[in-house]
Amino acid sequence: MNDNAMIALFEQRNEQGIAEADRAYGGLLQTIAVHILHDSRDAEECVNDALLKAWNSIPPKKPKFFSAFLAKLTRNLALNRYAEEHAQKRGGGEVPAVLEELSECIPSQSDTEQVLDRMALTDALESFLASLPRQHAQIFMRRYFTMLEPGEIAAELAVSENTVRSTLRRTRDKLHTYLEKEELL
Amino acid sequence: MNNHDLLDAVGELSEETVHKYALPDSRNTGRAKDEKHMDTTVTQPITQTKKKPFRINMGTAAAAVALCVGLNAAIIFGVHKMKQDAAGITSGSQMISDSEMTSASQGAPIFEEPDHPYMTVMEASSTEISVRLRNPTDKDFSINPEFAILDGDRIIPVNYLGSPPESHYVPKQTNGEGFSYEFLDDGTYKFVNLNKDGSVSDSFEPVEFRIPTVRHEYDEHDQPYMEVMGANETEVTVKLKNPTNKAFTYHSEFAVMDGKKKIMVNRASVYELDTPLAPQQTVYVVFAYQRQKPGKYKFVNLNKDSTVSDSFEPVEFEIPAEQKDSIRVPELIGMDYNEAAEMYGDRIQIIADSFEYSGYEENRIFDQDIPAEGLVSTGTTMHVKVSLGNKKVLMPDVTDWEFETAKSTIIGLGLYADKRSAYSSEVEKGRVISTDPEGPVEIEPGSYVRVTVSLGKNPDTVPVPNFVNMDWDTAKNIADSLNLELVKKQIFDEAEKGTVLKQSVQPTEEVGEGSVIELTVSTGAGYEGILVPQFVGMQWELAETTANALKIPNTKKVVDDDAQAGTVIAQDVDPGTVPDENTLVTLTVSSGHKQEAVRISFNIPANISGKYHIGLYEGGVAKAVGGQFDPEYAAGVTSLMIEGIDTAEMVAVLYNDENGKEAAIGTYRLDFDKKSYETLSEDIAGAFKAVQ
Repeated sequence: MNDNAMIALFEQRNEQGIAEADRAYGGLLQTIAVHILHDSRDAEECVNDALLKAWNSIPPKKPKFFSAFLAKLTRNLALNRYAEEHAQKRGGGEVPAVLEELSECIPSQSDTEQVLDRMALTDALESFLASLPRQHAQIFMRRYFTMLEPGEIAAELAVSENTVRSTLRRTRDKLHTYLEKEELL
Repeated sequence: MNNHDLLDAVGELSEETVHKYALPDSRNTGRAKDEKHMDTTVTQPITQTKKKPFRINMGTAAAAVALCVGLNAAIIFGVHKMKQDAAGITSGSQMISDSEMTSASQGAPIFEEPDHPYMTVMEASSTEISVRLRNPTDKDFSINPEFAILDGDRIIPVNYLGSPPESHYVPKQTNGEGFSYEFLDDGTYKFVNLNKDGSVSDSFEPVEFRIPTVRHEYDEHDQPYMEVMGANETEVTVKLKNPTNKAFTYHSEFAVMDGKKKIMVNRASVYELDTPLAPQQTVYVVFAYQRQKPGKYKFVNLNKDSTVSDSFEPVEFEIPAEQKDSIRVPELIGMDYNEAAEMYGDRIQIIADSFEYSGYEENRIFDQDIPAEGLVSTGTTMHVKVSLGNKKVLMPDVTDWEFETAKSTIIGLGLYADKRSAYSSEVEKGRVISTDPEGPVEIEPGSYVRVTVSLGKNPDTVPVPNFVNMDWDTAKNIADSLNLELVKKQIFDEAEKGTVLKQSVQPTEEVGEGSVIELTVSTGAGYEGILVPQFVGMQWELAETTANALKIPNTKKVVDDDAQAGTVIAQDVDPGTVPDENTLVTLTVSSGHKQEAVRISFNIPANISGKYHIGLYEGGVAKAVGGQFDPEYAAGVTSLMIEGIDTAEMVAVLYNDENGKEAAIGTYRLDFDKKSYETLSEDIAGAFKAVQ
């Protein structure tokens, strides 16, 4: 079933839509959640929450890319959950590593002078990604959005793990420069 | 700003960006299929816990069923009684509770499915039946697609509604078929499949079904009756009603009586004068007669022998002296109800019987009980139905959906899903290949949607490759590997010798193994052998000589056509084709004449009775014989149709069938091309006198 068909089911309040969405994208969402939460049962719940949240927001929302819409919901729900559970301790999963890596782009001492404009940051990221070679953007997003391990990214994109790691490093450097230039740091 | 913000910002990226970069390209993202991630996850379908069971809205579906019946019924004029038919069908809800729907409704199976093909009667009314036929086995199953109803030993023929019944059932195929038949009283009948010789087949076991008793509205009459709605000097509008529960048979001839004198009438209404009248049926009929003076008359039903019948009791009526006392029934359908009342309210009383959804806009009249063409007396009450609006539902494009999902969506919209199965190499098994009508589309609730569901790839068929531009030998090798048979047809072309120019079956079409495909192959520019010439346009003699000289076998077929006589107007082998041992060119030759029909009318005296007929002769040879007529009933005219070519002179002869006498009526010159005739001489009255 294609995205439009599934969305149509959501719009008609036909719960078969949830089943179809789960069938189509459940695996993807599970992957995202597991990489963040590092626990398959937590991830399962998180995916279910995401699907339920999708059910509650369509309509009025009409996602253009259903898989991406669901992936965003899942990722952000998983991150929230992660934040709750790891308020104190540092646990497993990819989040600590990802955060560590991202701190390279943003020096933590910049806290004081920031006026946090998330919108501006997101916009900057959009244009930054658009400026990258497609594969670099894919590697970046698979790492920092989907939170796959470099080895998984390498397997999926049919490149070596080393390439993934070095691409990530170079892209982070570029991002740092880019954000500086955009006066966001 | 810190790394957490950045992490969050990544999560805020547009769906498009996420879709483009973050997600795998492959479609294998579903939980069950995604084995790569299976090792780390415990899969468990969410639907078990979070999802409420899906239920079919019984009310809607039942309403849809009722509506279907209503729609069919609405074709018949005066629909009041059919409404009750719909309500009377108690088995209507069975349609949605059959086994096929149980997976959607999550109920227990209603019955245990037989292991052989079987039929189920879904609903039946006095004129229509809906049957579900299913092949639950794993084998293909063929039937003779003819059916009938058994009333005891009597076989009642049925006509199919919609498309013809299917004769071939693939494994697990279910078809819904609808049939209509002559009016049947309530009672128990059997629905049967027939063999080719008309005997009852046991391919499908006969099934018993009931036609429910029709409840009816109150009527002061307990017998069929006639009512004169209005009359003037040349016509009368009569209402015939059967208020009983049984079909009512009568002889459909009527007359107007002026005292003892019988005045013959002609039916001047487009509405059918049904006989028998179904229970509760009402028809309005307009009859015309020769001009009569104002005064009191009687309208009577006649027996076959022309005596006054008592099937319908004769009714008195008056031809009013004043024109304004009767008015022609206006066409109210499509009019605004208020406007109609304003416009005609001073002459007829317009009463809205009901307000319903229809194909018309809100407040428009969509039904009137007296049809717009007859006469009614001033002050007559007319019942109409007023639309609540044009209610339509939007059926989405369900192509590629799981059938169950598509079906529940369709049924949920108040539509009826009619499932058909077909093989497809493109659509996954169990998913919808196509629907008729195609979605997204706005349709009226209660419409049938034919849903064609994929059986997966047919194991016995192969998609036809594109052979065009290949050379013959390559094509042959490919065809051999696919078990397809090729037939070569060579045609002169400048493309390199052996190049395939055309194929008889289009690429990607599915054909069975061993199918024969004709490839049109180029001879190459250097070819100097024999070619089938262009015969079209030649005279037959020349064409034949040419063909024989080239040793091309040929045959002639003459058809009536305007083209000059003897001209070849078609050939079934294209010019430029290289003839081979199988070639036989059929040349279609014009006769030069297209037969046209001319109708000759004879004004006959009305004051004579008896049985007569008229014949037409050309040079003493009979060319046409008219039907028997009785001048008293013929409303002053009889006519005779004759086909021919060019022009002809014919003599009309009158026969008295009671005494065998004959006499010439006149001579006529017929011009078939102009479809007209000229009277050269005529004495009809004299001829009638001569044969007495």
